[in-house]
Amino acid sequence: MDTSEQNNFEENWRRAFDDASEMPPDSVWARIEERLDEEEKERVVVLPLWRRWQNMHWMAAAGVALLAISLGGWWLRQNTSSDTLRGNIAQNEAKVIVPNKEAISKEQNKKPTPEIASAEQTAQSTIEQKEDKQADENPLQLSKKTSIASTDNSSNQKNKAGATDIAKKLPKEWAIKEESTIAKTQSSSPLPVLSATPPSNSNFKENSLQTNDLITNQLTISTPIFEATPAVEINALDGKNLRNLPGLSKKQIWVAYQAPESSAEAPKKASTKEYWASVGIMPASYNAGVAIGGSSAGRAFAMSGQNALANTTNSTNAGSNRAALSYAVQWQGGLQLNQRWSIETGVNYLQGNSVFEGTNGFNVYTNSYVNNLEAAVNLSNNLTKQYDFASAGNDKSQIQSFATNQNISNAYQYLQVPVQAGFALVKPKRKLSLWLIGGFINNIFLRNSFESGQERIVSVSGADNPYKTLSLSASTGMRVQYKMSKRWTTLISGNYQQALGSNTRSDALFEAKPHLFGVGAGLRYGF
Amino acid sequence: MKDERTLVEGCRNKDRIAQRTLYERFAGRMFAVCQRYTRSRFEAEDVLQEAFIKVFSQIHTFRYDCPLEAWIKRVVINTAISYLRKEKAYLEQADIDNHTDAVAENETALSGIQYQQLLSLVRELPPGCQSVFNLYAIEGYQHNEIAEMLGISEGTSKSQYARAKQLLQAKMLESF
Repeated sequence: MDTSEQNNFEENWRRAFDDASEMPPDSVWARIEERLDEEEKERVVVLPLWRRWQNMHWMAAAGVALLAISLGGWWLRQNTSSDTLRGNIAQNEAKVIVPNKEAISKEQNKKPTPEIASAEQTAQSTIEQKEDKQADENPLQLSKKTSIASTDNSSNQKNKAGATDIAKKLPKEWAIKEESTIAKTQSSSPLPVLSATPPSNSNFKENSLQTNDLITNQLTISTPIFEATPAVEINALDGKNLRNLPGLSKKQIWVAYQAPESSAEAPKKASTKEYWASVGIMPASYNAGVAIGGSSAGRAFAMSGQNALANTTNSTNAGSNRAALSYAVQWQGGLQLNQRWSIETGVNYLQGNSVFEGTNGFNVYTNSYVNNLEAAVNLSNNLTKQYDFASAGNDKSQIQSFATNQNISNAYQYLQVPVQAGFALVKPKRKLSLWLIGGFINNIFLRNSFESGQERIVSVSGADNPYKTLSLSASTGMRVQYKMSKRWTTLISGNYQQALGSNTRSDALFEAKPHLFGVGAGLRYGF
Repeated sequence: MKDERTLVEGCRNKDRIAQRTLYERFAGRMFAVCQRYTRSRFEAEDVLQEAFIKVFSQIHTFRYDCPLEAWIKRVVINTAISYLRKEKAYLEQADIDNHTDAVAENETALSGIQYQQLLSLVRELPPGCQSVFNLYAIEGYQHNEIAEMLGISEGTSKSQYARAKQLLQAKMLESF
């Protein structure tokens, strides 16, 4: 048998199907799109960012740098302030409550795991572009247009009829000559010999019936469940010889990729204007920024014996502050105006803990220990004058010998109402966006709790206290938003707040200009 | 090919427009492949749908070392085989090694025969024969490769192909 003749059978069939193309109904794409949407919704994992990592290098680097600088600055300031007082031994110091500064929130952004290119995903074998032979045989005259137009599942019968007509057109030399060979091999299912009479072959009919039964059976089967490991299936053919794939032949038609012609093809995007509500928690470093003195009354106080009781070396020492671990719980709502801008407001509960590094002395008049923060607060409070040092005048001798340093825990509780605007530095193309946030925060004073010289916690609240009921802070920060689904978005933000002016009343004997740095996380729901 | 890369990258970024563009570019030819491996248009649509879902979910494994169409076609063929395996189609096939020598030696001319008619002939083949015929005659795989892919012996692959060839020739003689 001639090898070329043997190959002609495959060649002919290959050519017949080589350029075959038949557009599926639109419903197929609709189902695919539906599945893709479902899969996106199911991917609720917070950090599947690694796939987009390639486009985020600069953003991640900037974020890490910003956080590092901020934390470093805060750390440096903390160490510097504590160094100034180091070496002084206080008799009460050992009992002072010092919040664990190491518990300051750590930046928890994990680096996205870079995509691990599976080594097992063996590269598809190199493909040899086989030159198509210029076939000597008559080229197949497949009419694709006709075939597409006539696509019909029930075309079998039609085909038989049509094929008979076509057969008449076939040259005689194409007909099978060795009928006897075929006949010999038809022990199980003898096939009919070509004849001019209409098909009277019962065997073929049986065969057709069996086929139809099979089709019917398979049609009754519901949508099959595919294996969950498509990658394995894809690679099942890796390394195979693909040189004969029709898709690789010279007939391959490469249609240049055209950018989407119009927005009409694109899925219609919903309006970007949307309302949202979010909850979040923000561990923070809060520095109360308390300074004894400041106002005219405060300066007088600082020079007086009342303050001097707690200060053996510098009568104008305003004290220093140290940040401690604090937190804010945030409920916010906002309106995204467009892809770039948003406005937002809400309510935050802030628990701001800090440490005032003051001095503590023994008051011979009251026979008790008192620290200078305590004295300043109480003397600023008209109703509470538990420690009235007025009579002490400028005479510091009564207390100086007992003065010592004290780390005074000093905590604040505020209700905050922020009014902020957001600007998208990285527009939310798909899921990830980076926002610059800025605005003002109205701080509603709730309570101040500090440690007295007697090592008990004193709370200040209500109407008559040294603090303003309402004070203002400036707020700025950056926020990374990751849209998990159509409705839900996770938020990671860095926020810095600085009081605009003192939180204390003008006649108070001390000032408080707190600042805060926090890194928070939250969850947002879009309406 | 820069445009192809743009398209692939778009799909990797889950860009729906890119996904649709890729689908529209290859759906026609891939649907024709699905038609050959299945026995009805409905099954072909199911296979095509699953195949493109896999294409989009696995597009990150495409390394540009072969034409994109060849890669997509492999996904489609594997999906079709997986589909047929689920259907237990291969259990129905008999090991008929003796048929190897019974292949008709002469070619059967296909010139002038409509694509749909040829497709009908292929679809009328017994399930095992149909896959082997597609993989060997159309896709160009060798019998040892087909045996591995379908989980059958090489002899079975050869005999199934011989039977397919025989049936096709007989049907052509009968029909034309």
